[in-house]
Amino acid sequence: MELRRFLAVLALAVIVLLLVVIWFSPSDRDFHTDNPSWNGVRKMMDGYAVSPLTSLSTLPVSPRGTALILIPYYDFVPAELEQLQSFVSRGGTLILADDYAHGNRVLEYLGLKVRFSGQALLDPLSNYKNKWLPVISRLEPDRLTDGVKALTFNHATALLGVETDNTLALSSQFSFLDLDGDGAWSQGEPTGPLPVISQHALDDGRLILISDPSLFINSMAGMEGNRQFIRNVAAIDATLLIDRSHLPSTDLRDSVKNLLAQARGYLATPVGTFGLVILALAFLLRPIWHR
Amino acid sequence: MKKLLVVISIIALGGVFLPGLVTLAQPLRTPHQNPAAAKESLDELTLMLYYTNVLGMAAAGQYEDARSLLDNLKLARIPGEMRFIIERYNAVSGQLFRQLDTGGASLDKALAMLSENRISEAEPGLEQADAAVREARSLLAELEAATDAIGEKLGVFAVPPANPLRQVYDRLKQGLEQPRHRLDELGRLRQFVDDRHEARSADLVPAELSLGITPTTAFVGDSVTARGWLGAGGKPLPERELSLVLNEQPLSITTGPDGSYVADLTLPYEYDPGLALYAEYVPAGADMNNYQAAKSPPVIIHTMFYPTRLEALAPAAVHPGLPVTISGRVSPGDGGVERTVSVRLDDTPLIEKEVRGDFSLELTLPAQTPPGDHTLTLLAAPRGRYAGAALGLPISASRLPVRASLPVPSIVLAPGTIRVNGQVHADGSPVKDARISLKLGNSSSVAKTSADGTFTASVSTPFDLSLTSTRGLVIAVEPAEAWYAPFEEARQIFAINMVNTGLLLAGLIWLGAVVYRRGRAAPARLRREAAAPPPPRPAPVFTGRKAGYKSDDTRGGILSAYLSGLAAIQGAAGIPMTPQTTLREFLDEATPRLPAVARPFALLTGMAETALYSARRPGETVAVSARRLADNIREELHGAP
Repeated sequence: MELRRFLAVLALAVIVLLLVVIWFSPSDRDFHTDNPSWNGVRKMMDGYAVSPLTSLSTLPVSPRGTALILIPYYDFVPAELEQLQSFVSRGGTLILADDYAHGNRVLEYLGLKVRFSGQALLDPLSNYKNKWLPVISRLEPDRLTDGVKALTFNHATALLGVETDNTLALSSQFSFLDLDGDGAWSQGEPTGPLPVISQHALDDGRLILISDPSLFINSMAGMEGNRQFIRNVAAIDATLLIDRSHLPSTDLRDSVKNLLAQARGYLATPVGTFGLVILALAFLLRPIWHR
Repeated sequence: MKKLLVVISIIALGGVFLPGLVTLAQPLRTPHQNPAAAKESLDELTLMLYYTNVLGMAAAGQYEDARSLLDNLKLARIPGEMRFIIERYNAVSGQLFRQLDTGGASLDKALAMLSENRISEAEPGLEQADAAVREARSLLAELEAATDAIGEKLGVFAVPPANPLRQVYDRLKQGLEQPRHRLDELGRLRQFVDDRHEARSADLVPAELSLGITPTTAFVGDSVTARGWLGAGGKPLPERELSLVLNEQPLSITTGPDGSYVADLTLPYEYDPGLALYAEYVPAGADMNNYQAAKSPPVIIHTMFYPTRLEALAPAAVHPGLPVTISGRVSPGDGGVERTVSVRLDDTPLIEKEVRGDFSLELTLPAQTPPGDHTLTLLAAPRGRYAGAALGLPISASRLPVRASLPVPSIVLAPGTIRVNGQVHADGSPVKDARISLKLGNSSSVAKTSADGTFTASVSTPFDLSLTSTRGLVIAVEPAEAWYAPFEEARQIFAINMVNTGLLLAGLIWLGAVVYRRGRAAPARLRREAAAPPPPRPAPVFTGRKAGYKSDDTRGGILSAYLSGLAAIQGAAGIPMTPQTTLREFLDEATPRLPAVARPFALLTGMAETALYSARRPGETVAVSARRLADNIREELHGAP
């Protein structure tokens, strides 16, 4: 075998091997549904039969009885916002969990005045280990907070413009919004109690806002209050979905994995399948073609 | 090779930088930290600042707010070694504020009593204030000691005075002076009140006030007569205003010329078996300088009323939006007394109706009632001498399950249309006006059930280029009535794409035909060759000239002799020598048919091979021998050389 041909075959074999390894190795990215380590949401997926949603276009036609957890780490295109609005207005429950990302785009589109602050909520005293892990003890009675004594957040923010009637949870009096990012309270920075969870009726559906998506990660979901809260979230509706299309994805492995998933999806489409069939036929008929 | 290296380099660089571009599109803040690995820290500054604020509030007399702030500190995470001190600090601070509050409030109350000449009523307040101030002083001493301990634990004394921690600590220490000032104020106030109490006790004559009631037992709404006498030092106090207080409601009356008083009181519709009544005299005007206030011993009026008994039954399971009947009985109620019975679902009023004795109420749970356990509360309002009654009935709200017959084909052709003629029913009854939605991939349609619960809906199987596929058809039923539960069913349908399958079949048929033709062609040729010897063919043109050999050359001579012998052999054996046949193969094929010339032809073949392939040039004798062998072969086969 000549050298060039040998190198080509070797490279192809290595690429195939790498792709197989990537495909089967679990993710370690934030909020990933198949990430079993501390920053993934695998525990929730397994514990509460949460179904992953690869695209908002596949939301159910009849969303009554369906709740969708949305962690918007990527921005939305107008069609996606329209799909979300349709989902909520037709009776679905949207659980929008955001801290520093694109949650306000959804709120703007839905025409709500409430906003995610986008600034860090710190609590120097009522916390779990340090001020970045505030403990939320002021809970209003509701199905979502039933049996929950306190919640622990992780690098959270606060909600702005929430009516008292809509508020479900507030941070402690010691907490504050770190507007200047210096890690300490400065004159003029809003102090607690600040709303961190709220719910809003919207047409036939409802919207639940949580100012920290980290509540759902494996290392936080096991904490006592958080566990009960997630159990209550899972009991809101019969079907619980989580959107994967706006979750963080940063490393090459995830990118490749996504590409592979996309390729698989593309091959499952009519055009892709047709191309694959043609390719297979061409390969099979190659000897005849050469004659 | 260079091109390959360039391509690999570009891919590698892309792999390094592209993920970074994705990162740039994300928020810059850290979304979370691993709580298991998070470093513990206590914000000492915030803690001490908080205490300073608490003490400031207490100094301003806002004890309730100060205690509320201290309660919030229960939520604070304090490391183990500090926890005990902080908890004690909070407890002692809370007690101190309570005692300061109590002391101040008791003195204020005593002062107010004294201002109304209520000398005896002021005394308990003074004693209470004394106890509170004493306790507060001892608590303050404990608090100062605890503040020093906290400072030591936090290492405050090891830092320079300019350090923020030290400054906040100093502020906290200064803050502790404020409760001390407050205690001093209370001491001064106590002395003032005490002096005033002594002076009033000496200067004022105690008033006497009696109270009697007839009858002592009466129905609610009936009248009773209160009688009594007001005097001082054995002399009546005429034309004085006093209060009869029944169930915390005062009624002003005036004494007669002999100091006596009479008043008719209507008992309120309070269904309490014992109502307290007392008379109270507070000096006013010129009496302020002469008499102390007086309060009669309380008299208990035994009130009577008819108790009400409420009984009712409700179905254990009810359905939102669907009327339900509650039957019951309110008693006593047969005597023509109409009673108002109202029903509430949790906190929501549902119905109110006037009933007598047995009743039957038809009510409907709101459509938005969530499934689960609820309580229906029946209230019989009090009426006259009849007391009210309440009854709680536990019910369970649920929606009726809906069933649907959905004859969906399990195999369909695509592209095409799936038509579903189904029926929706619940507990045997048809469900009308229910919204039926079908979804198959990106294709969907909506229909509505008719009065008999039937519907016809169709959804197209969209065109795609797969050959066959399993597709999920989701059929959702949303009943119009609130008492029916939504229903959803998913069916798997096997779709065969006729176009693509046809194309593939055509390709396969073509492939099969090609293979079949090739398969048939080979055996036929073999059969033909085996059936009959082929007609003699002209020998291949193995001429010395064509092969490029010269006749005067030795090798050429040998080969010419071979060709001469070969031509005779081909003719006799009927076997042509094809171009791909080697000399040796031809020898092996031909000689079995011509054993007479086998040896000379074998020798001649050997000579020809030597001439063709040997590096050594054959000698002239070999060429002569070759020609002789060729002659022998021809002679043997044809009888002539």
